[in-house]
Amino acid sequence: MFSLFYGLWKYVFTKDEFRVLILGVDKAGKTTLLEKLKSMYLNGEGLPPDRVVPTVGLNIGRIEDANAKLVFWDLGGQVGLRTIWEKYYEEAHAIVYVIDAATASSFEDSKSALEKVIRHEHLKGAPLLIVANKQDLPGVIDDEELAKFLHLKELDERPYMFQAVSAYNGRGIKSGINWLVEQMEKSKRTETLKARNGVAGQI
Amino acid sequence: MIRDAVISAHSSLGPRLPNQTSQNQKAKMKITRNPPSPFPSSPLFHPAGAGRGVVALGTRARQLTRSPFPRSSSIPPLRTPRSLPGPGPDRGQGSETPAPPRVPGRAASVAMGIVFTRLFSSLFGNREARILVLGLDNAGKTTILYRLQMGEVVSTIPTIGFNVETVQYNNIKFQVWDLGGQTSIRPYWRCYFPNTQAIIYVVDSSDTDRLVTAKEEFHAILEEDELKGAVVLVYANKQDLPGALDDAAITESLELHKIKSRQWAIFKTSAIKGEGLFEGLDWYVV
Repeated sequence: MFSLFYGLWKYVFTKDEFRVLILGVDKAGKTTLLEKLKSMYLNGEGLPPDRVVPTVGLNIGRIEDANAKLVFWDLGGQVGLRTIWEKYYEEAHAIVYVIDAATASSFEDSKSALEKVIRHEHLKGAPLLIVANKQDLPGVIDDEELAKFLHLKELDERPYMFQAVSAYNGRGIKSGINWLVEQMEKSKRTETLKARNGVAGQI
Repeated sequence: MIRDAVISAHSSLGPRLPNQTSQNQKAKMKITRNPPSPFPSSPLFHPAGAGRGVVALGTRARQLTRSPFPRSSSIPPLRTPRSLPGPGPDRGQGSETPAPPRVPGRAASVAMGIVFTRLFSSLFGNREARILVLGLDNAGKTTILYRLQMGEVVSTIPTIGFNVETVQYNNIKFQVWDLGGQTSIRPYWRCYFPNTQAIIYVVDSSDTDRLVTAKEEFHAILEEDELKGAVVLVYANKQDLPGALDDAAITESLELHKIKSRQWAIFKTSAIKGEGLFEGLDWYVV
């Protein structure tokens, strides 16, 4: 009887857990974004931007939204470290791709790295949030201009959105995350991942 | 950036004292020995409590910590008379047997000690962190420890047992434990696992033949329950040697990408040249 109620309780109140990869080339602002997320959703636990150091490895952030638990994996973006990105693809529900929209010289590198990401078969159908970061800086381009500039093909099969964000002051983050959660909840990929984890759990 | 190191403790276990520093270097350091071990007859005194208790409460707290023996040890744990075999009403009903009698006064005083320790450290703004330095033998663990602590290269001999030093860096007191890495003494690492905030795993980047062993030991450590909350730093050491693999290659061969539930970072280091060591601590601090 207890387990029945417990099961019901769990069914009603347990939130889904989604794993989100934060990718992008070095100096795009991935870790700053992660820390900002932490401070926005966890009441001031994140690091201030000036204390962020280049990531060589993995940073993890766990936050809780009204409807979902999110686990962010923030991976280092230096060229030598990009080889480990794909090791995390299979288990990720969605991708946040961060681009420094204030530094035009980084666009080409960003674009080719992003194309590689979306072509990878392990990320099939994963919702993609492309973040035009550093909106607080002068000379920055907004999300529409960035979309035009990147001119990405092969995006049609997955839900995607461009979002103007400042990881420094937090602009645009909430709406981006809300979109992401909504997409993940109805994404087919979430179903497949859940089914696979269920099978793995039984064995 | 404060890089002054303060020596507070230097201890070793067993009769073969790993004398890491030559005599004249030792004379320069102010070394205070740890208080005598509460388990004088045992070769392993439990280090877990050492990081928690401070000042006057330190010795007391350590005496009260739980069994110091590794799970694999043949030494039986202490038993209370009630759990000894003999006639009793609830023999055989494992789940029903009453817990060994507790001494509430002692537990309370330990709790008090912890509370005061917390209060003390929060008042004076000093964080403390317990760090284990692990890795295969000859990876450079001891050299790294003394490089962090004194800022100089000391000549070392293979560590049998452990070295422990306190390193003060950026307002954090790191209690750094360097454990011997030889095959025969690796099983004792687990005695030091409780209360660890971070692991520094040192790899000899030029020793490509043993990277597989290094990987296996590494992943065995990560599976330990007592280290679930610890963050992982990997030092790809000996970058000064020709033929040393870089951080990306070490990442690949250690299969670091299999770590998904905790933070990790890899740093290219050269303990001889003193490169990369504090960058690792910086990462931990932030």
